[in-house]
Amino acid sequence: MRVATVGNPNVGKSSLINALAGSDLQVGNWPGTTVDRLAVRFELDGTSIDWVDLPGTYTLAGATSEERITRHELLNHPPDVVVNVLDAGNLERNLGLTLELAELGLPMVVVLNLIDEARSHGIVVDAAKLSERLGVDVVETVASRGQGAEQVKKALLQARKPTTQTTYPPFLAEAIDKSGITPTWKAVTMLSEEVEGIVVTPALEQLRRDIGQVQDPFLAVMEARLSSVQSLAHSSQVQEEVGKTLTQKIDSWVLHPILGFPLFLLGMLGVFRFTYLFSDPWINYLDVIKGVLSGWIASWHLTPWLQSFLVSGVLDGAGTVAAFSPVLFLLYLAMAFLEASGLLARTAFLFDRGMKALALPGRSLIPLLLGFGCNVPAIYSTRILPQASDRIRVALAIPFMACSARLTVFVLFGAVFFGKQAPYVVLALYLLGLLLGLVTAWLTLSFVPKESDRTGVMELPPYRFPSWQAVLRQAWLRTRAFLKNAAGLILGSVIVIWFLHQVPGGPVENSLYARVSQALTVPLRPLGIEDWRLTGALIPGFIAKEVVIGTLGVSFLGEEPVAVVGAAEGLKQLGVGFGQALKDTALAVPQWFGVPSAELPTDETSSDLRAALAKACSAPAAAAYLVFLLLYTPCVATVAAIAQEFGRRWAVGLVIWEMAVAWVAGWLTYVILR
Amino acid sequence: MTQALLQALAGESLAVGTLSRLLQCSRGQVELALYHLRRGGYVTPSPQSCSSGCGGCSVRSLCSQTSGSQPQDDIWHLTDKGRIRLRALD
Repeated sequence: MRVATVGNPNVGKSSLINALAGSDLQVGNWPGTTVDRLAVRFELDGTSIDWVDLPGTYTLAGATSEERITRHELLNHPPDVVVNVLDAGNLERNLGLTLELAELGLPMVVVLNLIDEARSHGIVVDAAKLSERLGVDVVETVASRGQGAEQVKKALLQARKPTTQTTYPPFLAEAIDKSGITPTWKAVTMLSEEVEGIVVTPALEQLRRDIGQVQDPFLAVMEARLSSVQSLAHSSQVQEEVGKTLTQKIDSWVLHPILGFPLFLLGMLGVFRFTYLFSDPWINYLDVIKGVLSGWIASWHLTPWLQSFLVSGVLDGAGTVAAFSPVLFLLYLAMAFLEASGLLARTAFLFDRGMKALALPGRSLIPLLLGFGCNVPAIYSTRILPQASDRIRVALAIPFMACSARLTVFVLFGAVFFGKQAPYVVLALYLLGLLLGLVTAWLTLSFVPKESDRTGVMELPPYRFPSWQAVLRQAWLRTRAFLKNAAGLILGSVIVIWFLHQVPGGPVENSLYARVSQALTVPLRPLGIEDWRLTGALIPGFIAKEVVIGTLGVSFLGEEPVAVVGAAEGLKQLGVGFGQALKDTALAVPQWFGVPSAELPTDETSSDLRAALAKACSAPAAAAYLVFLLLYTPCVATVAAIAQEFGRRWAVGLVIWEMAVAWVAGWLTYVILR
Repeated sequence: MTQALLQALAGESLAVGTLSRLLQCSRGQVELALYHLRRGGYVTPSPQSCSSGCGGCSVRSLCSQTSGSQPQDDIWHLTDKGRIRLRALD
């Protein structure tokens, strides 16, 4: 059985499928979470279900990419059952699409989702009455908590074709009959407007001209549907009196025209400090694990070359990959919480005015903010923007956002060169990236053709306290996906760098890697960067920013003698290290809520690299290096995403532009701070 | 409702909240109507919002959203096509 979910944006379509199928579709509390056709297969009472989650839309006749995908799927691959998900708290806006779907004549089930929120707003929907009017089963659900999932399953297996129809004025009803086109929705649409993918025949063109003599067909259809929506909504819902809702109370602060901005900045600082403070103990613990494993490998008494390969190549590479797990997981956890709670959507409203100055809609800020986690999914999330020109301009700005991979380099250099000021340096880098990204978006306005105007309906979802299970799962899935994509690349890069260090043998200063890096240091000298080992780390940084620290470690520390660790001693170190990580995590809680303190927990392993880095350049040069690293080029995965979405020309142009901006910004940083 | 909405916008640019109060219908209905009217090219959002101030607004006495604590509504106005259509309807 083929089933398709259709509904307005942000009504919980993906949550419903996750509740029914136990799948892992991305769920967010902002419009446009699903921007493509997503499919899930599962068994239901012995029936195999192919379920398609279609992007949110207000009409089947729209022109945005999401609307085109939904229309194409329903017309060209009609499902056996359409599941129309409605926001029970906003029936008037949702039922317009329901009436369009009814005209397709497909078996349908209506799901009244978010019924709990509707009740909290005093809205009581009579599902039985609505079912009677529509002629299909209507099921009440709270999909995020799995409430009503069983009833939806039952309704699916007995789905009926809707009996309700919009009452059109006689002149239009006659024309629909005369056209002989089925389903009714197609006939109505062909008579009243131009829709991409639907070809109007000359005979129908004549019919359209005839009815145009009587009345504007577009307005006549719209008026008929609005009247039917009004009638349906009035007959099936009651509004009871309620006081000021919690959402309204919170919004009076969060969306305040003056207080809103500092609160937003405070919130972002809170996210960075959360990631920074709570990941550090576990990154240190991973160093302990690496030390123990190195000690165990040393106890095997292998040949020096093989031991070096296993410790400095494989283990360092795997350690670099693993070290990202805590940072990524915590950042994704914070972002998932902001998304699911509705706070992220507030930023779209808060910044709408500011973004208008750049001729971008407020919701452009959502892909930009996601870019702080990882640039690659952020590039794909630009699909939530209806205008192609906006999508390109936002995509070009995203690589300037400091992704979480760059964060670890910022943290390391911050601790070495800036001490207690480190969090503020990191924040300044994030803001610099944001600023330059927005400047890029503004500059591209002159050569990216702008369409007529932008979308009109802005949605502000109510606050929802997210289920911890959903937030944790979201963070875990994103971390896993990122690591899965990057692990091989990072491990391979670190091994290649290790190999380049070994050729032709002897001191690392004579290696092939050193010679290439020395040549690349020449253009970076005006930025105060004289050490080839710093420049060298930028080369694999193009493949993945995650590799930079691993490369610095190999370049600066080279082949360290590894102390042999016995089995029992190793297990003891692992146990003690785990206890220490737990203790440091507990200590981070009051620190997170308290006065900002930048004192970094240190550990023996990384303190060697920190000491070596401290001698490699001055603080102004380190700042210039960080600025250059922030801006010089997105990683290959991001470049590939841009090329895929917008073409190679844009991808190549972006890399060249970023290189130029990075050099100028790095040079200015060095000159100002020197 | 369509005609009433076009008529309301004939004299001035208005926000969703204000239109909802003037037409005595729900915010959702107004949003849906504006969405379709915009698709048809009859109305368009203005490049300003309620937060620009209430000084010149003729319906400020009807408006309860003066604290700025509410979401910024787009302000809508008729396009040339909308004006021509309204004249034809009248």
